[in-house]
Amino acid sequence: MKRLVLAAFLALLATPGLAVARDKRDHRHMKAVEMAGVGMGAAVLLGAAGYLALRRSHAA
Amino acid sequence: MVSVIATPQATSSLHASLRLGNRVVPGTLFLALLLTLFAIAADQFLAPALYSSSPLWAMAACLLLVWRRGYPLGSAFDPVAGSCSMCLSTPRIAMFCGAHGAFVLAALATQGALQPVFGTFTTGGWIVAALKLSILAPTFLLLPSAEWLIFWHAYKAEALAAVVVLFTFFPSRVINSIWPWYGQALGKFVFFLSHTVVPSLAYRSSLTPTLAGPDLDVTILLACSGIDGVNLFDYLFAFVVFLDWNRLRKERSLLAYFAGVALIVLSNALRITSFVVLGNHGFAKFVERFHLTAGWIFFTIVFLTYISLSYRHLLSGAVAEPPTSNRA
Repeated sequence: MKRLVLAAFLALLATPGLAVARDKRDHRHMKAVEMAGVGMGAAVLLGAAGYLALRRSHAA
Repeated sequence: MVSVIATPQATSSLHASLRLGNRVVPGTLFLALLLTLFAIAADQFLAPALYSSSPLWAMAACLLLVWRRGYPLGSAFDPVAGSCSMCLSTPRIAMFCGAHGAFVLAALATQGALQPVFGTFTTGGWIVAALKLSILAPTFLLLPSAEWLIFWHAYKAEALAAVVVLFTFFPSRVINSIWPWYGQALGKFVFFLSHTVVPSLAYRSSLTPTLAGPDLDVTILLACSGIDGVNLFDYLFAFVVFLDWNRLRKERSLLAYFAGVALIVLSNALRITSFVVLGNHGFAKFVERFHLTAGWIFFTIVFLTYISLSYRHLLSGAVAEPPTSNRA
């Protein structure tokens, strides 16, 4: 669970940096839809992990 | 794993129940929904003009929730107490396949004529969009109406959830159609909230309104409408509903869904307001660089706050889970 949350959070934070790095490297832009896809995926993981933690705390 | 189990009342063929993993579901209903899902996917593959994700999502939601529910205790589908003996007949399956074939042929034949209105927000465009949903209609051919009525009484909550998914999930078409009005309303609301903190702010009206400040101009694009936030909420709320379906109070969950969507829309306005305010108080570079990422984090925090505040209310007084043999 902790690894999942960490991975999602890092993916969220890294998205703009990756886009900039890729742009500098080969003069291509990361498409907005790709950034949105990474952001959405990471946000879903983070939200789902948070909900599972909440669910576990209610069950305890 | 799928296997047919014999019940006291139904000892031949696929009468009452299918065992799917560790759950028992009414075989006839489950097969009817599964056939519909496959038929819709095949139709859309063969005739791309019929493509709409809504019927696929709705059918998938109904299937998953029926599977989560299992057989309702004491209903006609209860393997112990029930008296259900339904099955899909070959003539009805043939009629169902014929109707889907007719849909595909009609779509292919009229594709050229309808092409100009696809995806538009004209009356014709809306009629075509509505016709895409009618692809679900042949499902009613699979069983007599009296048997659909029995299913409706047993699985009303699952059916209503599928209807909600059909009309509200991933509402890009609705957002696109109301954007000329909604964009202005959003821009003026953000201006109203920001104006007191950034007095020199100016509002430039256009299809994509701009809030011009001393350090940073913020243009509100369609992508800033909150549609991504609503989509994220849809995914996460669907996950909650799927996992807790047997413990949720269904009426409260329905209200919580619409309240959550409204909260996301309001939060989106606050998110843009924060960009305008921070961007014009020394954080212009930061806002420019991180506004997309910050949006995802922001919407995730809004969802988690909302669900943690409402979760107890959604569960309290919920109906009992199905019997042990039917639980995940």
